[in-house]
Amino acid sequence: MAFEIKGRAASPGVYRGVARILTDQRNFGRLRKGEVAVSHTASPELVLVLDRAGAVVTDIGGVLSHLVVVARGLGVPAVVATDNASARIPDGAIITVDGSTGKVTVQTTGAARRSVSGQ
Amino acid sequence: MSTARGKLRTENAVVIADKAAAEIGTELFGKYNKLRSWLLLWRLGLPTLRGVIVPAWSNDIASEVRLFARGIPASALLLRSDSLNERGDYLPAGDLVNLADLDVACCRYLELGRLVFLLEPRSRFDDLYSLSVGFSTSTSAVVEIVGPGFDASDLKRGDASPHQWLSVELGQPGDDWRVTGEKTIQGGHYRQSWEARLTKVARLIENEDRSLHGLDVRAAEEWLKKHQYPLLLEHRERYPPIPRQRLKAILAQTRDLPLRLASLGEQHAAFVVSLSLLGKNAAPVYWDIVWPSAKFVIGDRKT
Repeated sequence: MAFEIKGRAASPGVYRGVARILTDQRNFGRLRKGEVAVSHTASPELVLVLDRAGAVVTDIGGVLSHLVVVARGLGVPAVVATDNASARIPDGAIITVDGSTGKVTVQTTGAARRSVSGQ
Repeated sequence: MSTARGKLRTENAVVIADKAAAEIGTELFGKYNKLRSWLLLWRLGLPTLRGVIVPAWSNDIASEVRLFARGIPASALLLRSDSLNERGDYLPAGDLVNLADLDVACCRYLELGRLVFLLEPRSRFDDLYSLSVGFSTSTSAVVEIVGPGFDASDLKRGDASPHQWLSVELGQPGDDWRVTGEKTIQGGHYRQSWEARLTKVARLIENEDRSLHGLDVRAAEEWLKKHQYPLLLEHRERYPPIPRQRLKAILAQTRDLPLRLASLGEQHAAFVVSLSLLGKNAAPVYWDIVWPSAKFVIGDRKT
């Protein structure tokens, strides 16, 4: 099973990985290398995880925000202005981020579902 | 006041009020990217604010700052700061600081190894429109805009989604530009954005006046009324798109920036210039230029 979330294409490229919901800097350490940073705002603090994030998804923010400008420079795919991705994507879900179209596809089977039920 | 080039040293305060001073400031502090970009705005002749660079705090520098403020005249200055190794979690600035409180405020930043620059006072609660204009080629640009009562940090720090977004084909110098894509925020989304901004305003007011700790959004509304910043409150329900004439004037000022920056030795594949139209008369003030490769120190993605 899967569902889609639409946002603004902010940094091109397609990436599939584990979604990690980051609420503030105190839990940035939860994001492991290759995971997708999912956040409410496109805060510049998230630049701190760009050394290991596979992609970035945010609820609000623009394509010219500091975070996205730097992500684009590093070639990290990003989708912004999804409205509610951080609420709809379960922590640990497998997601595919298409930073060229602004589409985020969320898989809701297997490990992700277990992760949600385990919270 | 330090004005003679030969006497200047990096521990002096440097007043920036014209292009020549901006060139001296660039020689002394050009490794600070945010500061350098403000100095570039002066060198390019774009409307920006006068200011004084404060690399340290001493009685002499405090006197120079007071002299600068008296010349405006101003009882408060706008504090900005920069670092040689900026990280994503840098201490935000942008507060208006009363002259009496400047020593404490400046030292708070200087003690973190940052450099301070103090600008003519402009309130972030008084922006009619704030814009980011992004260039990745010399012939096209993306423009993101937030509306009345929001400020440039909402765009730069990702605290708001843009209220209006445009993709613009600039063509060659002398050509007419044309909008190739545009989207404007609608009803419910704008209302959410407005509520989030008011919450942020409450926090920003607290930053400027610590005696107002615990300010709620209703009190923030009252504060805006009392201090005569009506723009946000007057645009509670709907975003008024930026008038085309204003957009035209901004694009006329910015469309040749890639070439003009290159002529000053600033050749970058992509950059974003940030500005606001202040007050009801929409006076343009350019804030800075961001280059993706120079904005933040990033860890190595390969390790």
